[in-house]
Amino acid sequence: MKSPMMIKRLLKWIPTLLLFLLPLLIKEQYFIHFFTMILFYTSLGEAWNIIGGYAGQPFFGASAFLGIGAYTSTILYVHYNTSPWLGMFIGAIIACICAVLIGIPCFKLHGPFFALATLSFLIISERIALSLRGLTGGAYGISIPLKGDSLIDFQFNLKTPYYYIALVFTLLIIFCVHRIENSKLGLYLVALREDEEAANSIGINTLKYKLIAFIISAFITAIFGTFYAQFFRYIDPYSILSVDLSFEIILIALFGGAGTLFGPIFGSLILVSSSEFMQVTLGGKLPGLHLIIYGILVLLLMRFSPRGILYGLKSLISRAPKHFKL
Amino acid sequence: MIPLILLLQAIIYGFLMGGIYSLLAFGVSLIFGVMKIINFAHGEFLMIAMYIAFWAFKLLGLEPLFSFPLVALLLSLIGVFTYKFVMAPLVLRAPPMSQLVCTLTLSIIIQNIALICWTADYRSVLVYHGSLQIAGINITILHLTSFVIAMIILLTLHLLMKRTYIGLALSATAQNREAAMLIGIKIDTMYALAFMIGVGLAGVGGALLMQFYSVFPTVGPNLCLLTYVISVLGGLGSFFGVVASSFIIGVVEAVTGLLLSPEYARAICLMIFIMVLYFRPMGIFKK
Repeated sequence: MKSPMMIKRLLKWIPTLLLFLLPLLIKEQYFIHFFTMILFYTSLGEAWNIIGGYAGQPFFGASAFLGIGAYTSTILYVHYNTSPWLGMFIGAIIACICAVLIGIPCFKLHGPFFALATLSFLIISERIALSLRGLTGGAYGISIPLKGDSLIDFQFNLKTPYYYIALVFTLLIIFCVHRIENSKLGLYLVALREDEEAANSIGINTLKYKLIAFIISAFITAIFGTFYAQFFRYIDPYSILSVDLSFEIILIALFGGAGTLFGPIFGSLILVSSSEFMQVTLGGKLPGLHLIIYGILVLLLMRFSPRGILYGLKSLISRAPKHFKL
Repeated sequence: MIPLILLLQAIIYGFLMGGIYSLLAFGVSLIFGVMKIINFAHGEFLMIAMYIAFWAFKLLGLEPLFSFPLVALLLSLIGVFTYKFVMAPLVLRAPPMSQLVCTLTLSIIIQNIALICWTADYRSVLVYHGSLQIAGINITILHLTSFVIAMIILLTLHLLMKRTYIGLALSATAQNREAAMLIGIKIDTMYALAFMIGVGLAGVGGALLMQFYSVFPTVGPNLCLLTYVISVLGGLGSFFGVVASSFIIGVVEAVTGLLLSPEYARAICLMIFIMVLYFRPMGIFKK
């Protein structure tokens, strides 16, 4: 009885092991870059998932935290020569403080109004980044000077180290979200998503738990902001503080299934690879065609399985005749 | 220090632009009131309207001041089609979070179609009809006539909403969907109508805005957010609230643009928006 359980448990670790071995199997830098992007979006999707999926708050400003993380570490690095690793944590803490400041007024609002208010915060932060030219370089952005391979400076000539850093962070985040999902906090969040008044009436301090979820989400997002800055070595308000990026993060979580652990993982696998594929095959012919197809894909999913692709597949399988069952 | 006359000028222009914004905000608040959805694609309908007004000027020589009925008609048709083929089957059935995502996706699709059709170039209509000078303040005839047109259309619509059966049915649907259904109002028709009027108003607004702004595929989102700011500020569904807050936002935008910089103007409007959401979520004019 014991050994099949053990095997099952070991089987679960095979994908993780494969992910660690991947750079040994594939040498092409382009693919390493591509897999790093999948990990990047998975983590952002998971971070959004905490506040948007489990707690059900339509948060439209995720890239604001990404920008806070990226700008803090980059400004500290470029102007004060602080290691980006330190900058990463300073940025994450600033993002947490901002999360509290944004959260307290915004969590009074519900549904679409919360979405509009958080969207407004994102645009305000974009305007601030644009106008503080001395610090952020305004619309020109900041490029990070290349100093060559060095762990302290968070700079590498090859993509592989970035891949491993992203992998470790992503696994940690997935583990964290898994723990949250099965904790009291996770249950509180789901309760307040389903019915906030009912959750309040049984003594859950909904504002407090929404704030906690928001802070965790902001922390993770800001850390990946620094990662983004070091990975591309260039940031500007139009790319990192854009509404489009926020929206992409939401799509990834919703596509896979918001409020589930594996939703963002599948969402980023499918959406990042399909958008990359379409950009390669169609991008040259007509600019924007790949985004149209991408959009139609999302609309179709929302039509046929509004709770995400995982849920849709699950219900398809359960509807299939018995002998087809997996 | 900025001379007083410039400040007055900015205030008057803000006021006149506010008149045009109120058309957009009224449409948005009608759609939200009746259908209870936030339509992120509203800015894209505005963009289409601006392009139609541009091509009407370029190909037919029709100035936006005269082509706006045509633009409004075309946009209403587009609105009905969008309702029939996207909104009704897709958006209205989805859970709230997916609704937001659906309309945002729709806006991305429309933006990119516009990008393919018309490229990312900025295009504008250049017309000038002289200006009036009152006590040292210049007011162009274009601003003034656009303002008057906007106000006439809004007042007519308001009267129609209050005096006709269909208008009352629309308000009834906005107030209580189930009760409206019980007294025999066809909800689906009301939704289609609200969406058509809302998009049609974006048509008028877009044509009039075309005289002052350039059009390009991503012109929509910013203006869209601004219209939501206005309609929430005025209290969604309140006619006079929406018109008054359009004036406020128009003036605030023009004055901060003059005093600080145009970059800050939008940020300050949004800060006011968040403050109002926090302190008076029902809008500044509602009791």
